[in-house]
Amino acid sequence: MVSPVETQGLTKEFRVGFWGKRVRVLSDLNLEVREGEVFGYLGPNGAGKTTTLKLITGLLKPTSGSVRIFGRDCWDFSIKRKVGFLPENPYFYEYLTGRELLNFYGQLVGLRPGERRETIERLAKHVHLSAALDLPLRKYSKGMLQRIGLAQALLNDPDLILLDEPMSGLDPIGRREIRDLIIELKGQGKTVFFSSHIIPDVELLCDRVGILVGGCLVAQGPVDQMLEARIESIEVTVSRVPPGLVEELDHWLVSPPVTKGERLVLTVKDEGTLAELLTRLIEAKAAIHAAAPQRESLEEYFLRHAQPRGGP
Amino acid sequence: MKRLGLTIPVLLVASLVGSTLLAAVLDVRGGHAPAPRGWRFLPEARYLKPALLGFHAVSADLLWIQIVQYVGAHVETDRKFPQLAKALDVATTLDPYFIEPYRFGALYLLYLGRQPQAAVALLERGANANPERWELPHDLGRYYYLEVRDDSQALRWWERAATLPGRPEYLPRFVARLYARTGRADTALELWLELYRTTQDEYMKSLALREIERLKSAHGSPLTANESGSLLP
Amino acid sequence: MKVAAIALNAFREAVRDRILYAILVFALVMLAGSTILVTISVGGEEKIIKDLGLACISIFGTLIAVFLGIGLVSKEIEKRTIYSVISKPIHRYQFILGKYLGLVLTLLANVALMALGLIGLAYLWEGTVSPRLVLAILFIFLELMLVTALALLFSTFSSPTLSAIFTLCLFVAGHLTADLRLFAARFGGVLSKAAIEPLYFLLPNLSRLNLKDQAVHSLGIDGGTTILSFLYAIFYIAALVLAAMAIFHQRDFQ
Repeated sequence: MVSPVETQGLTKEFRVGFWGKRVRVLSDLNLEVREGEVFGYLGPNGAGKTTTLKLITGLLKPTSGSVRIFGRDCWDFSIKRKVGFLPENPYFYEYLTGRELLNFYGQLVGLRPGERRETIERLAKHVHLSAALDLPLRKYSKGMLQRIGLAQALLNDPDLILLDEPMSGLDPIGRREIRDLIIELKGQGKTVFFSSHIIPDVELLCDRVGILVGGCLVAQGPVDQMLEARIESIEVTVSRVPPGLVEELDHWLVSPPVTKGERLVLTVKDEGTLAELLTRLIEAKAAIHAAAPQRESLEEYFLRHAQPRGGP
Repeated sequence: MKRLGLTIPVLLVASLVGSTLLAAVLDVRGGHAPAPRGWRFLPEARYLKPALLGFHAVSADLLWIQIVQYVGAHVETDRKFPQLAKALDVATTLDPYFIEPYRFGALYLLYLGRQPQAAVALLERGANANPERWELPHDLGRYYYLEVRDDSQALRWWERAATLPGRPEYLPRFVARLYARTGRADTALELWLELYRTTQDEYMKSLALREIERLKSAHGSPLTANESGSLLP
Repeated sequence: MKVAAIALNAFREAVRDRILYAILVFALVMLAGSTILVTISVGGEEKIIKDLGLACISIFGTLIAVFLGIGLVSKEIEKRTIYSVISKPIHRYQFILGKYLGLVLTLLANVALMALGLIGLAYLWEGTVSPRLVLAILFIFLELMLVTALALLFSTFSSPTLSAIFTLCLFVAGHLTADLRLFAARFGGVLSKAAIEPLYFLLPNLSRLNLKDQAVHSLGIDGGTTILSFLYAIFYIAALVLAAMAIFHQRDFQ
């Protein structure tokens, strides 16, 4: 099984400013995306996510290390045919209409005229842009640009789809549409790699996740695994607790009990303590409504790892 | 929306009126000391030409147009043309193949500027730069004939012009006549015979015949026609 | 063909750019204006019309070549439209070649229009169409192709403003190079002669592409020289475009 995307020791430096000072943007990246999965690439702004994507698509050259797409060098032509790319905040030629743009890109990916026409109609319908196809792109809203961007990325029916911040700047409806599209692509057996800083979307959509901070990949793995890692506490929602019992149970609690209407929320540290607590509560004939393990959310996980570091 | 109010329109009108009045006053006063008319700062053609980046020909045209205006303006006023020769020099250096500045320029220099040497020099330069053009040696011949009354010089130039394509019909016979006048009757005779033979014009034929008769009678051999009708002795 | 697709797209972009029309209208107005200008001349009317016409085509063509050429690559990078193009399965050189050809096509359309205007005017004055005039226009077009290639080259690595300055400087230098060499030969010392020689061969000798004098006057046009000058231009243009391709190939698109 060849990885759709695999980087080894990928490093990128830029020369900045008048004196050409070297700035390292990515350090020793060892990324792996598996076939048929949705991979989420998370990181704060400026972490180097877009740089990584540009290295994958061949817009930038690595300073050292390598990028391989389906086992081949990313500049290999036959590979580019299997890849679709949607850049961040995409800009397209304003003076063209949507149809002209897709037609032009269709020519560049090698579609023949008949195929092109058909594909354009199909994709436009898919992204709900059929009505706007003949409007000039300068009249498109942000959401429309995002959608036509997706359409152009799918022209060549790619096996690997790379999306840079596909949800950015979209309203909830727009985000939902992109989410649905990604799910659909996955259903077709395609591999989707997208970068984002909207964590709930990533949590929902992705099979595996990579977290990039300050140019370094600090974590990479299945979403669940990363979250299962720590169960912080367990919240038990109860009612009809006999008075006095709460003070008694206080030493088991991690934080003061919280009253929610008629119910009480007790927080314990782990499963062991939970068992004891439940036993006592049941003995006291309290009503147990819920026991919910509080995993560290991806957001907290992320924030924890995204603390400013002292440098790579 | 808040209304525009009066302040801005009033100030606008005032500014317009003010600027118009000032413009009128300036017109009456005449501005700064009059800018030098003409081309006091015209650089030497040798340096100007490369600086024009390949547009020297069109620049010569524009300069020529300016020269025409310059002459026109001064003819009406002070009748002085101090920069004419220099400007013509530059124009003809920028485009040596532009004929009109040589011809008309020489006329202006001669009759308006009273600079005959400059006129002759100009025409000679033109003739050297354009050896295929009849106009320039023709004009030189005319100058020597009409102004200087130097027949041998006139002859020299007109003879040169007569060999060039497109030359006027009268040149060959001027040349012939001048040969006669400068004492070279035989050459004159040959020329007239040649003319007689080649011309299509009836008037020219009769003219040529008359000259041939005159020359022959002046030199003693009567005119007879041989068998083929030729007048050659 | 992918190059053709890119070329047509570049052409489309130029045609939808209003600046082009402004320049074109101005040029045609000037052409018409030349007929008025000749009325205040004494003699030389045909020559003046042709000279002005050729100068117009040359100057306005150069303006178009520079204005459109300097943005060929840098505008795409600035507007980030380039990301979705370069990530497609095309060679980088195809992009450069396509852009160049698209601009040449635009120039062709403009020059053809202006040429028709001039030839029409000349025909009205003279009653014939002079093949020399057409040849001069052809060589002007060749010069424009060269200037465009220059602008393209600079566009691959510098901003539009700098590209414009460099291109115009080289345009001026290209016209001066032959004369400077003569000056150096006649008046310069050993040092200036040594310095001038390599420059002379490196810089584009644009005076070789200037047939305006020959067209307007009946000066001899040497067939051999014409063909060689034509080939010189083609080779130089090829060198410029290839250099642009090489630079573009290496570029990072930040």
